[in-house]
Amino acid sequence: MKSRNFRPINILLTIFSIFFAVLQVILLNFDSTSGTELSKLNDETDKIEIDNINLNQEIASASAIVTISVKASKLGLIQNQKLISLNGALPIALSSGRSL
Amino acid sequence: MENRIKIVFYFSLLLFLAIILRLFSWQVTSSETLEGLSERQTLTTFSIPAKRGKIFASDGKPLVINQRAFLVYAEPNNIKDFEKTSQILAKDLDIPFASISAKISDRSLAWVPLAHKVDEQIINKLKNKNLDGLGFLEESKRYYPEASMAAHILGFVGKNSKGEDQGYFGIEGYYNEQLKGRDGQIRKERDAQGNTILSGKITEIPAEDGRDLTLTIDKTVQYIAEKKLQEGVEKYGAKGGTVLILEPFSGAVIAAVSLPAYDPQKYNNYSNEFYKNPSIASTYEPGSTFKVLIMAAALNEGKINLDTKIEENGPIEIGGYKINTWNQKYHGIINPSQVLEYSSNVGMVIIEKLIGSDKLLNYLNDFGFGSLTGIDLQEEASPNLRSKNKWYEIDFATVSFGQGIAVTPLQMVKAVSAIANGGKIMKPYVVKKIKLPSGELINIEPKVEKEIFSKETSRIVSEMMVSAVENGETRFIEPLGYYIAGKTGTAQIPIKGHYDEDKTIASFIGFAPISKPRFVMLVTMREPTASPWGSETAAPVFFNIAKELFTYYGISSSE
Repeated sequence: MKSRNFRPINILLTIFSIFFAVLQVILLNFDSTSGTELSKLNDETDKIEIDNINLNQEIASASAIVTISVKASKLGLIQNQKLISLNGALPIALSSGRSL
Repeated sequence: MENRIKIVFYFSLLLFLAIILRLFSWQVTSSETLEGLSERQTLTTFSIPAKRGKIFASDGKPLVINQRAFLVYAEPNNIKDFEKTSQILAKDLDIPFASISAKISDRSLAWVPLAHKVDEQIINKLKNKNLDGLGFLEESKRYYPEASMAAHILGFVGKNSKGEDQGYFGIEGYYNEQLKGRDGQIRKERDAQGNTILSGKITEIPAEDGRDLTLTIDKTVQYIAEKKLQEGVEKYGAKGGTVLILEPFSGAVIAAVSLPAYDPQKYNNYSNEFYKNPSIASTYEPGSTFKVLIMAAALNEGKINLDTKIEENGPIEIGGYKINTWNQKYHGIINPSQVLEYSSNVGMVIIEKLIGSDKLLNYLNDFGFGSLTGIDLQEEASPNLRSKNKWYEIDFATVSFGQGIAVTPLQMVKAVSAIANGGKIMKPYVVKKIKLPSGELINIEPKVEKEIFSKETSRIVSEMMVSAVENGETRFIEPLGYYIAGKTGTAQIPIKGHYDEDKTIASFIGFAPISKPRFVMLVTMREPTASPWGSETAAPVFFNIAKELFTYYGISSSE
């Protein structure tokens, strides 16, 4: 009686063991090959970072005040000579009683 | 038959026992040794270099950023043609042939560095030449989009004795620890092709990048100041000059220029004397510009008022010395405002006597002379103020017109800022914001060191300074329509115990607009040959810069 009940459990356990063993092999295999994917992603990230650094440098150069000044001159822009004010300088009454 | 089965059985048992013992030896007894061997084969450690913090101007535009660069190294044992390799490297790296040849032909060395911080374009050229025994390691290098602008403020990054990047002078030196960050490390298992084994060991200590700094320096004002100072130095035949501009209500440094300067990208092409920032580390005798401070002290103490009568009838004798006016002209009875207009040394000596020596020394200390300002730049220096028992009567007299005392430009501007802002001594500073790698911002707030004058004193002295510009030696060159508070200064240069007859430091200090000053500026010209006078050299440079600043800040003539 005992051996008859025992056989289905044995078979079930054996099936589970084989299943998990195969699953482990599949997962580990997947893991080991995804290292190449990770390398590719890392390479792409590095490339984008390098592009970013280079572009930052180009932007900084292009927006440098000396660069802008030279470009403005070439475009014919002239310096703003003075501020136009509707009011003149207000007189200052000095504490000494004199005024400017 | 039974015996054979028994023999096979016991033999199998022995075999299994041997296997178990071997496994026990590998997995238990020698497990650590074997694990270590395995890690050495598969575990690789990489350093994750921290990025050095960037430096920005007040508008957030970059002054210093990082660019890619490379270390070029050689493996002498893998080089086939020394002659050819040396020639190519010497040409492309711009290093003497003999130096390169000596390094790469030393076969006792497995690895030898040839050049640091080499630009990417040069590296690509070398890579295309497919030279044996040559390798490249990525490094970082500083890049200055504005070239040599604000070189003395920024400083530069060199190497320390361990070969690590280290900031020197200015901001790079003062904030080196905050800028450099901390390198990280990553250890991971790699397969035979060098790919990461994801299920393997990966341990990482992340790098902590350096902190970014935002300065109080206004790029536009800095550019204007540099351009105008360069023009002034050339026009007046000076050996050099400085322009220092502060925001009087906060102490923020808006611009600081010193000529001659250097290019921080190529700092090693310049000798050490160029690196020091004259605005904070060089001293000069301020001459007549100092009179405004002594005048303010006398007014603040109530020793004089605007109607006080000062007798300027002739030279004044002090301790066996005769003190004249600068032009040997004497105007009889004058008031304190006219003392500044005429820049009268005799008038100032009389005022100094009214203040008294003890009070005068207290004011000199309170102004900050003889002490470091504490500005956040490396290599600030300050001349010492003599102790009280080393002052003689003549010393107090000469200090009243700015001779016999050495100051730095920064100390002078810091003191005069108190006149512009209503009487407060503000601590000067250059960094206004620090950004942590996490994104958190630390704002640096202005700091009041002490209140030295009353508001009334500041107002009166400001008016006197306006009057000095309007009615003094600069009345023909000051910008029309604007009131600028200022004072000229012409100080002889002390050489070996006496003053040089011909050489001067010409200066002009002032602020504007008078209603609420936006800037305090000092211009100094060292040994101008066109004219020794501050009114004819430093003052025009000041006014040229001021005119541009009025336009830039939108300051109308009615202010």
